[in-house]
Amino acid sequence: MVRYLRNSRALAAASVFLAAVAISGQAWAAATCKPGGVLQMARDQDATALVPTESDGNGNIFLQEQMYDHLVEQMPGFADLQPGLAESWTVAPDGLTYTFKLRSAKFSNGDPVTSEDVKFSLDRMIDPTVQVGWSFLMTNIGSFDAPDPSTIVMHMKQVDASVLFTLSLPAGGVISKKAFESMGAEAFAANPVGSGAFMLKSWTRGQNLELVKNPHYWREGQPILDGVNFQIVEDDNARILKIQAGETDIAQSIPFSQAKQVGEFEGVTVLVEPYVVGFGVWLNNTAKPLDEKAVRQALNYATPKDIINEVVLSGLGTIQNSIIPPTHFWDSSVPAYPYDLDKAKALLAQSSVPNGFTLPIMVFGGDTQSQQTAEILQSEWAKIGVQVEIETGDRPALAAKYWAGDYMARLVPPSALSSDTPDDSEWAGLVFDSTTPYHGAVGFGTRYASEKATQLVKAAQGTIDDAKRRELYAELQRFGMDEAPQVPMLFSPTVTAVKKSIANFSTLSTGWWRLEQTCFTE
Amino acid sequence: MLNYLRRRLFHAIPVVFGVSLITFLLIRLAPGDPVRMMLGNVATPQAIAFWRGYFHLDDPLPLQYLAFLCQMVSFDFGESILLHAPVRDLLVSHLGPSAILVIYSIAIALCLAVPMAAYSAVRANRPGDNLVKLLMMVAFAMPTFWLGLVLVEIFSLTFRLFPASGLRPGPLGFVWSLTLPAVTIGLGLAAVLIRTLRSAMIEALRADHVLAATARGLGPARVLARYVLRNSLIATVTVLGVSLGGLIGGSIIVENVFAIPGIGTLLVGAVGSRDFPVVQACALLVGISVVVISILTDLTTALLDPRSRLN
Repeated sequence: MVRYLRNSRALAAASVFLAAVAISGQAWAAATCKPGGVLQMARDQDATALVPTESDGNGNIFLQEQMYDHLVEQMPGFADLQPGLAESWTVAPDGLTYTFKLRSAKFSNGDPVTSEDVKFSLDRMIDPTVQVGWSFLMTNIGSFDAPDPSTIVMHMKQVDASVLFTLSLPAGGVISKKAFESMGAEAFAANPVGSGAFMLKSWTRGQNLELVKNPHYWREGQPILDGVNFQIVEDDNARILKIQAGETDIAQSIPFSQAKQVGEFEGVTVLVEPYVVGFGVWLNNTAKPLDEKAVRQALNYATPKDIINEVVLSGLGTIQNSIIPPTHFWDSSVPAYPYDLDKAKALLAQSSVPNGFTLPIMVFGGDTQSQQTAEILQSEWAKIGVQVEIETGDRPALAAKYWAGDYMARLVPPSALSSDTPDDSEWAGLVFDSTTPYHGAVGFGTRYASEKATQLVKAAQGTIDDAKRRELYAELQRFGMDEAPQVPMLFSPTVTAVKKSIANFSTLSTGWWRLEQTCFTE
Repeated sequence: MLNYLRRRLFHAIPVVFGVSLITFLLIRLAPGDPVRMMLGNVATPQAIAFWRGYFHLDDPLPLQYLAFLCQMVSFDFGESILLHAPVRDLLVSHLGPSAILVIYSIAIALCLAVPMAAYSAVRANRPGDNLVKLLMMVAFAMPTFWLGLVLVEIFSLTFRLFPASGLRPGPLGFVWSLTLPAVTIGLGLAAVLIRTLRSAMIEALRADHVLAATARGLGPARVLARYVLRNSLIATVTVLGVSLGGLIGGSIIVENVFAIPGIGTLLVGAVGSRDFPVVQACALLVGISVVVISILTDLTTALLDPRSRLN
C-alpha cells in the first residue's frame, strides 16, 4: 500500500484500493502484542519442496520465505529492499562488483551463518542444473567470492539493475553448507536448516505443515509467535467455514464474490491487498489474424473491463493499463483501452478480417472465474464479429498446447501468474525480450517479438540509474499497450480473512507474507 | 470354499492386469508433461531433460510398462514425480483415512437403512412408509458437497460438536473428524440401500413361513429379525458391494469439502499433475479393492443364502 502512496500520481489508483481495504479494519503495529501462540493458517496449496532451489511454485516459495533468510529482503511497507543477512553493501561505480557485509546470525541448529554458507547457497542458485526456476534472471551474475567469514563479493558479467531483487527471491535463500553436505540432499530436504524466523517442525503432506520459532533468529525479540501451523484446505467454502468456526486464525485466497460476506463474520476482517498479478487473454502473436496489430487492438477496445470487474472480481480489481503486472516502475498515467465498440469495428475494418473471425480460447476447466470471463468475452466479442470458441482443459493439457504454439488465445485466470519480485525486470524480460525464448517460444509463449521492446528491456536492465530505468519502463509500458500482444483486463488483489485478534499481518505485493512481527493481541 | 476362493482369485489376475495396462496407457495418452508440472513455469531445458531421464519417461512404452510390472510385484510403485516421495508411503498415508471413512460410512448407512427399511416395509404404503420414502428421496437427490457443507454449518458452526474440516491426530481424533464426512456419504448410501431392502422385505413378509410364524404367536420383532431380514439382505448386499466399489476412489468430493487427505484426493491431484507413478498405483489399488469387495460380496451372499453355495 505505502508503495503506491509514495508516487503521487498513483493516488487515484490507490484510492480504489483504499476503498477496498475499508472492508477490513485491521490495526498495524499500534496493537499490543501478546508473546507466543501458534498461528493457524488455512491455505489452498500444499508445498511440494522446501529447499530454496527446487521448484518455483507458490505453494513452495511462500513457505520457504519463512524458513530462510536472504542477503537482502522485501519487507512490508517498504518499496526498496532492506538489509537481510547483509547488514550493508556497496556497489562499485561500474556496477560490476557488489560487496556485502554479513551480520552475525545463526542457523536454526545454532551454527553461525558464514560467507561460506552464503557462497554455497548462491552458487547453487546460479547453477542452472541445480536451480530450476529463475535462471533466466541470473544470467548476468558471474560468480561469488568469500574473502573472509563475514564478507561476500558478487561479480557481475554485465550491469544488471535488478540483481538485488534477484537475490531476494526465494531461490536466494541461504542454507547451511555443513548441514547440507553432512545430511545429503534427501535428508536435508526433509529437515532443512535455514536462518529464517521459523524452522520446520513437522510436515504431513496434503494435510498440514508445522513451523516452529527459530530460537537463534537474528532479529531481537522476533518472531513473536511460537510457531505457525499451515492447514491445507483446498476447497474455498471449507476454508471459509474453518475461519467462521474459529478453527483457523487466517484463511487465504477468499473468493472475490464472498469477500464482503466473510468480512461481516464476527471477529474477522478481510484484507484486500495489491498483488503484482494481472489477468487477461494472452494471444498467439504468430497465429493469423492475431499477427496484425489492428486486430489485437480491436479485441482490446471490445472488452468491457468494468463489467468483468463487477461480475468476476466483485468490483475488487482495477483496470489494467500495462501488459505486465504493476511492479515497481509501473506508471499509472498510461491509459488503458477504453470500451469503444465503434473504434474496435473501425480497426477490424482496416484489417484482413473486416467481418470478424473464429477465435478459440483455452480456458481452465473447473475454474469458475475463467468460465464466467470467457462467456462474457464470447457474447461481447460477437458484437464485432469475433466468434469465440471456448476450449476447456486441465492445467497439463493446456500447458502442453500452449508451449507447443498450438493455440490462438489463452485466458489467464486471476492470481495465476504473479511476479516473484516487485521489480519490473522479471516480467518485462519474460514478455518483451525476444532474445530469451522459453521452451522455444518468445514472449513467454505469446510469441511476440519486437526489436524496439527488446532494446528497451535491455537498456533498462543495463543501467542502475533509477530515474533512467523509470523512463525506459514507462516507455515500454506505453509501447506495450499500443502493440497489444495480449488483452490485459484487470489487476486483481489478494483477499485474506484474518481474525481481528491477529496483529501485524499483511500480504506483500508478491503474494507472500513476513510473519516475524505477527502476533496475537489477546 | 477354498476351491471357490482360489478360482475367484485366479480370475481376478487378468482383471487387475487389464486395469493396470489401461491406466498406464490412458494417462500417457493425455496431453501434458509430468516433469513440466513438477518444475513449474520457467523450467530450464536441462532440468527437464535431466528429470525425464531420471524417471525413464523417454524409454519405449513396453519397457516402461515392464518396469512398472516388476515394481508392482515387489510392492515398490516407484517415486512420485511431483513430490519425490516413495509412492508406497503416499499410498499408505492416504489409505488409512479413506479406509476408515468407507467403513464408517457403511456402518452409518446400515444403522440407518436396516431399521428404516424394516419400519417402511412393515407399514408399506401407509403414511409412515411414505415419509421414509420422501426423506430418502431428498437425501438421495442432494448434491454431496452441499449436504456436507450444510452438515458443517449445523454441527460445526452452530453446535460446535465436530470439527469443520481436517483430520485430527490419534485414533479418537480420526473417528471424531471423520464423523461428519461419514454421515454425508452414509446418508446417500442409506437412501440407495433402503429402496432395495424395503422391496426385498415386503416380498419376504408375504412368504408363507412368515404367516405361519405370526400365526404361531411370534412377535413382529422376532419374525423380522429371524425370518425376514436374512432373506432380504441378499439383494442389498449386492447393491452395497457395487456402491462400495464406487466409494473407494469416488469419495473425492467429500474429501475435498472436509479436507480429508484420502485416496480420492491423491488420485485427482496426481491426474491433474500427470504424476504417472501415483496414478498407476492408485488405479491399481482401486482395481484390487473392487475385486476384493466383489469376492467378499459373493462370499457374504453365499453365507446368507445356502442355496447359492451349491454352485
